[in-house]
Formats: sequence, structure tokens, C-alpha cells
Amino acid sequence: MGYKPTIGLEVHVQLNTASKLFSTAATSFGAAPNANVSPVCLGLPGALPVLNREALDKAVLAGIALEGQIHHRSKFDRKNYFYPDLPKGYQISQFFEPYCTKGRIIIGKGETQKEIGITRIHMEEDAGKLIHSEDANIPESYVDLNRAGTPLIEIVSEPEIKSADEAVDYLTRLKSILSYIEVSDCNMEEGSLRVDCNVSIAPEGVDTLGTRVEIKNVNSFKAVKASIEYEMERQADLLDSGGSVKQETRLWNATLNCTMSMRSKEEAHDYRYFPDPDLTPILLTDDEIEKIRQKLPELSEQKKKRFIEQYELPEYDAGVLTVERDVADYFEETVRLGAPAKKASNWIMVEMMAITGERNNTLKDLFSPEILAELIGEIENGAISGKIGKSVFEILINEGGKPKEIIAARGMAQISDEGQIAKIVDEVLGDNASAVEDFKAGKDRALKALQGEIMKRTKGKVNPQLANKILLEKLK
Amino acid sequence: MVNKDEVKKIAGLARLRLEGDELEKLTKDFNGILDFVAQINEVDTSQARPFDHVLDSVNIFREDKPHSVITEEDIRKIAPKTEAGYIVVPRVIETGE
Repeated sequence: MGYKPTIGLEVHVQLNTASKLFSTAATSFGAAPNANVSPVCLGLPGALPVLNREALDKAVLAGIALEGQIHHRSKFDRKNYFYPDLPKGYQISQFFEPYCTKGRIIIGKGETQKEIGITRIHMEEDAGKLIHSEDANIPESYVDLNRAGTPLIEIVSEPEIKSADEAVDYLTRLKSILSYIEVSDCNMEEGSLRVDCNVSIAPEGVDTLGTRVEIKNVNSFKAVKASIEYEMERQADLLDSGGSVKQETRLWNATLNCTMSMRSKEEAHDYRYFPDPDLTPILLTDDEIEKIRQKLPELSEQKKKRFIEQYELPEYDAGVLTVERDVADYFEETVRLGAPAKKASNWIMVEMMAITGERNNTLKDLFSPEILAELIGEIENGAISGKIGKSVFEILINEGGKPKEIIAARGMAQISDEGQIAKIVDEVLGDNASAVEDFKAGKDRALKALQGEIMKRTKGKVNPQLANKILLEKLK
Repeated sequence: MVNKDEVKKIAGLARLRLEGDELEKLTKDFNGILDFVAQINEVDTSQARPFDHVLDSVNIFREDKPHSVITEEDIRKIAPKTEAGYIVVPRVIETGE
């Protein structure tokens, strides 16, 4: 039987503030265990939370960028549960009055473009990390509270996503928008962007939704796609064999490529939300919201349109260059330094992004836009050929340095002196009399052999157009 | 009014173990308190704004400036047990959040 899936995503995003949401403890990643904690994170008696204004401003900016409605009034609530990852016994979150509702993200392109609604965005504090020994006989767990209290926003989508690919599209755009406005590092490996997927399926043509399964521990875009596809298939198999889907939370296992049921307690969670009396309500005026809106930079979709118009780039290039803001900025800087736009685009998209993808780093880690502009300039002005350009590029990547200096120091400059080229051509023709005869007898392949010989004698440095012109003249 | 099952559930959520006639006694006490507080239902609150804070203050913020007020040594002193900087607690496995 055919089934149609319904998918909703809950995304937790760490805001990149210097200090925590409600305390002065620092938020840096990778610090020694419990180095970044405060009496508030530890839940010490009498320690009171005070809201970080920067976290609020960043959350609001994210809400605006996602086209949400920013509420003039919101407040914090306590979500009560006992677990050592939050020593207070509750997580401070926004349940009754979140600061933002009704956003949207546009996915797809051209005719398949569609809107995925965002139900709500709220602020909350992150929990600490627990380490359990693999050995179940060790009766202890280890608690690191560095992450406890780090500011998060949770972005809840409407269940309007209809395939694993749409889910990845939604997340790609969400990540792009949040990186553009610089409110988060959006690093899935470091856990600054975390995704829970809600998946249900229903027979084609049926209007009611199927039973929903929540998938946690989805740590990469690849895992998002694989886990949703796996879960759709698992649920379809269950229904096809006459069974039913159980409402539950499952964990994605990236090693075995499957979802596994979590050991869940018999009773459902009862968080007993109530307003946190330690924190005052947040009131935002239209002016304040407007002031934050002014900080909104040009986002990827607008930038893409501008790149097509201003730089006359193909839509494909403009799309690739604008997914991430640092790539777009790198491109614009290279062009500003004099490189022709399409040339800069080719070098960045083809050569450089292949390497940053492999090394998982950024364009600037390879070399600066000044270096790229200089390299392109040397090819454009004829100092080196495109082919030698690739060799200079390899040296820049592996050894560093500056294009002009590399070209000079290693004698890579192109031979463009007509007299010098004519001399080399004469030598080649004299040494390859048979090839010359073959050519005159109409064998075109002989020309290629002669061209190859000229390249070989000049170690690829001769200006190919010029050499060809001279060669043909002499062969007449 | 609450019944014994509800009190048992609340005790469970609060990690309290009730022994002997404590469940009976607590249920009675709970209902006594609820009866007393129920008097407030006589007040017409249809025009009142939801009460969410005892003070009138709003928008209490701090600047995003990190500074440390507690040391590793402090944590070692107040935690029941620590090891290599971690706070050590009885083994807890609950994969849910």
C-alpha cells in the first residue's frame, strides 16, 4: 500500500553569547569539566537567575529573520523534572507565552517552491552533560554542567514537511539564515544545532494523521535524511503486516543505520509547567523590536538574486556562493579586489570548496581573498596560463606563499615573447621532420604531437594561443 | 478534591516514598488545604489579568559579560563526590529528557 509521510522538526539552536542565559558563567565550548559554572547553574540555594539581554536580542533577531511574530509580552516557565543534568530540578523554558510564533521558511525552488510554517520559537536553557560508563556495573555517573544554562532557542515547525529531502532542505535554509544573522555557530557536530524529527505515515488518500514517532540523537543532515527514510519504511512495514505504530521516542543509531526504541518509563512525563517566580515578564515595545529588525542583514535568497543581477552569475553559481555567508563575503571581496566575477566563482566553487569540503574548514583557512585575486589577476594578464595557475594553486594550498612570488621564484611565468616562441617552434619543427610531413599530408594528429612537443620543451609555460598561431604560420 | 491515586502520583514525581498511613493522612491534608484555598473561587476574576509575578517589575536584564564567581575548589567542597573535575552521582540511566 502507498503511504504519505507527515514530518515536523524541532530544532534546538545554541545562541552564541559570551555568557549563559541566566548567569555570568562563560559559554565556551570544550572547557575543562565544570569550569564554566555559576551558583545559578549549580542550583545553589538563593542563587537567582537574571536574563541575558544579548540572548534576548539574538532570539528576537532569529524570530524576525524567520518571519515570525514577535510578542510584546512573554515570560519564562519552569519545566519540572529530576535528572542530574539540571541540578535545580527544573529547566527554565517558555511554555505558556513564548516570545515568538508563526514564522515560516520557504523551501524548494521554481515551481516546487513551498512554505513550511513555524509554529513557535521559544527561549530556554540547555542542560548539562552526563557521562555513563559503558560498564553497567559501575554504579556512578559523571556530571559536567558547562553546558547547563547555555541559551537555546527551540524552533518548532508545523507538520508540513512531506519527505526526508524536504526536511533536509528546511534545515539547510534554517541553518543558512541563522548563520547569516550570526546568532549561532550552527555546528551540528559540536551540538550547537540539534534536531528532533517527528514522523508519522498515513495511507494515501486518507486525511487523518498516523501515530507520531519522535526520533532523537540525529546529529547530521545525513542522519536526518537516513533516519526519516528508515522510520517511514519501518512504519509502513508495521502497517502492511497488520500491526500498528506505537507512539514513542526512538533514538537514531548512526552506526547501525536504524532507529531504536528508547527504554521509556511506564508513566508519561508530567512536567508540571508553571510561571517561574524568579524571573520577571519581558515586555518589548514596537520601537525595541524595530531597532533589532534594523540589524537584519541581507539574507541568502536576496543575496542570490543580487549576485545574479550585479555579477551576471548563473543561478547555479549564485545559489552555491550564497548558502553560507562567509563564502558569499569571500567571493565579493575577491571581486572587489579586481577578479572577474565568473572567474572568482569558478575558483571558489570548483577548486577551493572541494578542499574545504575535504578538510572541513573555511575558504579563509586556505588563503585570503587577496591571494585569490592576485592568482586570478596573473592568469588574466597573461603572466601564467590557466594550467600553470592550477600548479600555483596547489603550491598555495600545500605550502602557502604569494602567487607573484611563487611564479617568479620558480620560473613559472608564461613565455609570451614572440621571438623566443618562434625560436622554440623552429627547433621543434627541425627535430620532428616526419611529423611535419605527416601534417602536410593531411594528418591532423601530427599537429597535436608538435603542440605537445612545444609544451614539453617549455615545461608548459608557453602562451598556448601564441605558440599555436606561430606554429600554424610556420607550417603553411 | 484529590484522591489517593493522585497523591501517590504527586509523591512519585517529587521522589517521595510514602509509608504506613501517610498516604491516607496526606490525602486528607491536601483536601483540607484545597478546601481552604477554594474560597478564593468566590471572587469574580473575569476582569483580572493573569497573575504571573508578585512584583510589578518587568524587564530585569544583565549585560552579556562573563565572569567567574565560583572555583573548582568550591565545587569540590560542596559536591558529595568529584573526580577529574566531574561531579560524581549515583548511576542514572534515563535516556529521556
